[in-house]
Amino acid sequence: MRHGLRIAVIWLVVSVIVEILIAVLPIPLPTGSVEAMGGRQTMYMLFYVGAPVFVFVWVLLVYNLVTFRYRPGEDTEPVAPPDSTPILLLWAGLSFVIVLFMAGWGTFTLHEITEPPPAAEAASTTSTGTHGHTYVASIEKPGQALDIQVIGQEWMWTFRYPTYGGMETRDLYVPVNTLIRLHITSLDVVHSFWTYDYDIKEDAVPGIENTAWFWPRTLGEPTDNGKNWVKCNELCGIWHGYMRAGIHVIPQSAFLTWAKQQYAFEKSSGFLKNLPPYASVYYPAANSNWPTPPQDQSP
Amino acid sequence: MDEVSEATRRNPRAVLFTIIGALVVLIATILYTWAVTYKPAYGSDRTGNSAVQCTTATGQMHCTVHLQIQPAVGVGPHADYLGYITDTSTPHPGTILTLPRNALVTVIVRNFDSRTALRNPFFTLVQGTIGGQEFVNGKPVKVMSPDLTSHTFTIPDFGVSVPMEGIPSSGNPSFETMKFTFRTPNRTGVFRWQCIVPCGYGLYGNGGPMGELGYMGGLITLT
Repeated sequence: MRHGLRIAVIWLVVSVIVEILIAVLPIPLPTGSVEAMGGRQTMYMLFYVGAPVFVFVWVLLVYNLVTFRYRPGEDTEPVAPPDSTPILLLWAGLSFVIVLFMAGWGTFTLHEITEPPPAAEAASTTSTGTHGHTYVASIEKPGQALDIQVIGQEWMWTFRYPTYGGMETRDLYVPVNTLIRLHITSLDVVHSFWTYDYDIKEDAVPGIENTAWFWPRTLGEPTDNGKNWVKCNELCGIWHGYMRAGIHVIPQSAFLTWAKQQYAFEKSSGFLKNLPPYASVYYPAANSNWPTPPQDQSP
Repeated sequence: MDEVSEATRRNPRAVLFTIIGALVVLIATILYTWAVTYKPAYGSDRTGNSAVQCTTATGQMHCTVHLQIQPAVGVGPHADYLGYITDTSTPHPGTILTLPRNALVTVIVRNFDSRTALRNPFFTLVQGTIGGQEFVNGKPVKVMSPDLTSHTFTIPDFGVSVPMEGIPSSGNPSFETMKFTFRTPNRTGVFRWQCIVPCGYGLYGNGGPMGELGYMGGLITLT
């Protein structure tokens, strides 16, 4: 029992120190969007819950290695203590509870950060959403999410804005504090839309429209050291590592100005009429080997 | 340790096999290191810098790059591939270039290839050049008709993308001349550029010349 008490005290002290370190040390997790904050919260939960378990295993191991090490003159084989049913039950039960808790938390958070908000919430200008944030996505259509299409192709990203005549840009411009709905597709092979700073990752698959939601909460511009970039996260060919696009999170008023200017430019220059009509997926005629579009199977 | 020595003593072939195994690993390591260190990608040993001429007038560095797009480059391990080559008497791959930073670069491309539709008509827009335009056979163009495009010259990190007009199916004229100027960023580094038109082989047209260095994609080193 003497050993048990010592282990318990060491475990408690080290655990408290580690928990304080987790709280104090700057852990580099993304914070750019509400979804990133959800992921960050989950990571911290895992750190806080996992640290005492981690410390317990190491304290037990090191304590036993040091205390029960071989000493000169000891010739007899050590005798293992008998199995203890209460300890076994405690160990199994505690593990069960901890794992179940983390699974439940993870599932709930995943649902919270990947599912679209209920239509009623999105349609109302003042309701409080699933993240505890008020949806005021008053870009042109008050209360509705801003739709942006993400198009991957070897080896660049482009972005279309259906609410602005389907205009297309090479960087992603989004207004801050706005619910953004991304429609992600590809023109050739499978790519993956990934932004670390806003914690969104969704595959871009040819002939498929994937949807992802996010709510940018801080302003940001792409930097040379890799912040605020869309990167391709699916190995897609020779320039996969260079397949990136900047994300500009700008104030809502600045976004409106930018979007109107961009739309006016694309329309007046005659560029807009070169683009195909906005669609959820594209089957470019330029690709002679492209599979034929699936027939509509709906009754 | 004692058991191993015992086994070795009992079976001399084990020593032989160990030595052979060690030699195989050693030779493979040497070959791999040699290949990685000295075997250059196609084009990197013959840079296209013979196509670059730079002058400094009134303190401003101004470079001119002469390139061609050939339906078959005629040199290198895949002479039948199409690609960008230097516009000099001895053609080299024209995709690996060294340019000064913060300089004006005028690129003159003679395109001998026919027209291909763009997969994404977004690249009909001339982007990132001085004045947002290119000159096709001397005429300024800001947006190219998707029916005329053939290839592009796209440097994503510089924001530069310029569509290249293809020759008509009649074959007359035999080439189109594109001229445009852009400013290189004021930093050093290695940047990639590519043709964004899937003009290679394979299911999606991104294999062959699109997927190998030295044909429809390359590197720009800013010094």
